[in-house]
Amino acid sequence: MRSPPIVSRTTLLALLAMGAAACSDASSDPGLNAMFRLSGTGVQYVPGSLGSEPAAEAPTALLPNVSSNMVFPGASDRPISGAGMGSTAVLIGLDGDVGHWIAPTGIRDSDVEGAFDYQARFSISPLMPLDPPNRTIILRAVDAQGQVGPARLFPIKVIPPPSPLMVPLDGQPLVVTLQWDTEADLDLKVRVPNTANPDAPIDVWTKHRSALPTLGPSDPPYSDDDAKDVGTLDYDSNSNCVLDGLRQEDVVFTQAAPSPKAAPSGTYEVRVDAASLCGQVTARWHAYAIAADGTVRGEAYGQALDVDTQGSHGPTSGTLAFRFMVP
Amino acid sequence: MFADNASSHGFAGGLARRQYRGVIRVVRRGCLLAVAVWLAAGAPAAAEEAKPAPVEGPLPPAPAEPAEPAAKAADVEALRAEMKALHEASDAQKAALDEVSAVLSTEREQRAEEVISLQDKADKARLAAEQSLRFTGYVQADGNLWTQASHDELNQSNGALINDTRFLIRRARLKASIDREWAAGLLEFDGNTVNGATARLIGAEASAKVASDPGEPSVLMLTLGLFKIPFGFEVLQSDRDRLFMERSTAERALFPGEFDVGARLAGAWRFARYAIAVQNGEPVGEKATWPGRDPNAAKDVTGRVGVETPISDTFWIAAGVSALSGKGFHPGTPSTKTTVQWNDANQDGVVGPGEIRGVPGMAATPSKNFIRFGYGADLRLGLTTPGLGSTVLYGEIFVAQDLDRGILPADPYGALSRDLRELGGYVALTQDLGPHFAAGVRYDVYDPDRDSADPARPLVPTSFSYQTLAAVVGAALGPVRLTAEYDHNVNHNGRDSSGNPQNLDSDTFIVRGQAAF
Repeated sequence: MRSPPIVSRTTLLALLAMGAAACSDASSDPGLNAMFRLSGTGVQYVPGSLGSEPAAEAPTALLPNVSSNMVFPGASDRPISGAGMGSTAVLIGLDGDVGHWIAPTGIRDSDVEGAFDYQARFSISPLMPLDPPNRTIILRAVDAQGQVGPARLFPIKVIPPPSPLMVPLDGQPLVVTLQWDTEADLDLKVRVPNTANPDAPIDVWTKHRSALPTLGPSDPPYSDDDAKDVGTLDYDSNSNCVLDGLRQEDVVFTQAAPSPKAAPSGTYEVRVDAASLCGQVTARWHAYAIAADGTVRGEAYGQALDVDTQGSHGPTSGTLAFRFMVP
Repeated sequence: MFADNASSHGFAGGLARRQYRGVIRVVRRGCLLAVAVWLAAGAPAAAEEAKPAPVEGPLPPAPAEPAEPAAKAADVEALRAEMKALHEASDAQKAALDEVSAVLSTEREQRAEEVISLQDKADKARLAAEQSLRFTGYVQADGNLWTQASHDELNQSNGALINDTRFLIRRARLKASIDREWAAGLLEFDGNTVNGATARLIGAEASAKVASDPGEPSVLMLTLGLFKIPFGFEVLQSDRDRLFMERSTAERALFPGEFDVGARLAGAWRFARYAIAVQNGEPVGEKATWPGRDPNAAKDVTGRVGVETPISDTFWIAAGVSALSGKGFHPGTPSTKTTVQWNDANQDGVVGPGEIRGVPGMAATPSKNFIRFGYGADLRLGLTTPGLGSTVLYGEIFVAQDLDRGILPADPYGALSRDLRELGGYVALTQDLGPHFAAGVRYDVYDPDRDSADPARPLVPTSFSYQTLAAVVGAALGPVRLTAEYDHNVNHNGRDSSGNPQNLDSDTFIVRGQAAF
């Protein structure tokens, strides 16, 4: 007669146990909102910041092996490895981040007795702020009993992403930039005054990337010295829909007047050409020209649609974003 | 009983009434016959009783008393016998009449039962017809006879056809529906050749409802499935009923495809109409993300309340207000691999030093949700003119933020880094020209970005607005309708030789044949 309550109690206990187990289950969150991301065999994301508060003396994490502690927003697929003493996993996260990662240790370290190694790869979110530049990667080893060891801190420095020209864009005499938001193939086209022949301005674009007059059929090619340091389109992003994630193109003049390779005086025209939307419905763009002192010489926003991809994609095609003068 | 039947079931009640009247006539005729026989038999005797004896001269002295009683007694006996015979005849006739009446009554009851049985069968048949699986559908075959934006060429960026001067099956719909007392269901498929031959699910509904009169909307109906977003008038208007070829630009921008998956509570009470729905927020015609699916857990809530009522015998009005609140989805970007490009800086056609440049692989960016909403108001006025037909003047206005999913998809996390506020509407007039002809005109306008002229963020072009003036004429004969429409479109999608925005010619002339069943 008493069995039903016992069954109910058993069921209740089972449900409670299942609930408790569910509370400790792993998260399916891919962790893309985290500034610091880890990938590799068995790596698991855990929502919640990893603190560096004092804990048990053991297990301890060793300093990680990283190719460089200089990282930029969007840095991808950087190797990271390390070991934990008597540990089964190492918790890794960035200070103040929204989550951290579990990197299981499996291989016994060949050099350090009692240490177990992990190997993974890390990425930095493209949304990582540049300020503050000095950040810290926190590592804490965990043993089989779930005991979390003390925090090991590894400093990193966040720097601006490199330009394909391998020069910083800030502070250059003249930089014309096009940025957009979807994985479409947009092209920046800048019409540059031609001081030698004002009637034949120079169109700098993906098929003519240097601000040098186009050569005739019988003209000899420019020398390397001639081509060096002139205004140049740095990269054709997402060219032919080969995605590079940059979604930015710049025409950069690195030389200032009175250098003959400085941006010539006159009127510049900036166009945005939608070569292909690469399957996207639209691409919203922002184009601007900035001088060395930070003065914005011109700026425009726009949105490319499928209709913008029609027609030719020559040097003068595309939407006129703005014009500006260089004195 | 017959009277009740007669009032509610015309055919069966009439039969019963005729039977009843027949019986009454038979009984009346029998009674009249009996009275006539009785009068005919009794009248000579009475006459003889009343008839005075012939008088010739002065009155004779009174006859002797003994002789009179003997004669009178014989007469009385004769009369008695005669009356007895008459009574017997009357009784026999009465018995016959009773027998006839009993037979007729029995027969009448039998026939009444048969009538009731027939009524029940008829009711069941009618109910079964109403509740049985019904198939309806229509075909809209278009001829795009003239489209200014067409060219015999391909889009060089994606290989898409630029020509749109063609014949196509715009819609071929087949709908199966069932409507029971407490439940209803619907399944609708669409076929078309807009982008090649396509067949797709366009509607699927499972509903539970409060019972209502046949043909009348329920006061409360809960529906799960794929159905139209309950917003405004034009979204919910059937494609087969609309005189114009397509919906207005604003509607196509904010509610592309009209159908979405979710749950809906709707109903009608007298002149009031209401509907509220929770849906994925990704209509089947959406271009931006995943039509028919849902990239985020948040759901769009849409609702409309309105009235539909006649003002007089010839004038009616319908109006409503609508609202939508939901969350859109900004998709993240995938991680990329390292890429390398060659820049032939010195234009010698040979890879030289410093001409190879690389871009390191980039990490993925996360997706985000953003809030979007919209409001709308619709009004329709109808007037029926004898001999001419119906005149309908109607219009709608839309105000929204980050809701465009069809024309210029909104994303506040895009390069503009701000919300896009949309404004659109239309006004239309349709006129029947007798029973077989109709004509209409509609002007619609849509601005997908009301802040495009904001000097703080100079936009190119400074306006993305669209305007369309559509004129349509139609002729109908039975289930077949032929319509022709000219659309004059104004936009900012073209570029002049300097790269500045200008109108991209895109006027169209379309004829449509429609057959419905």
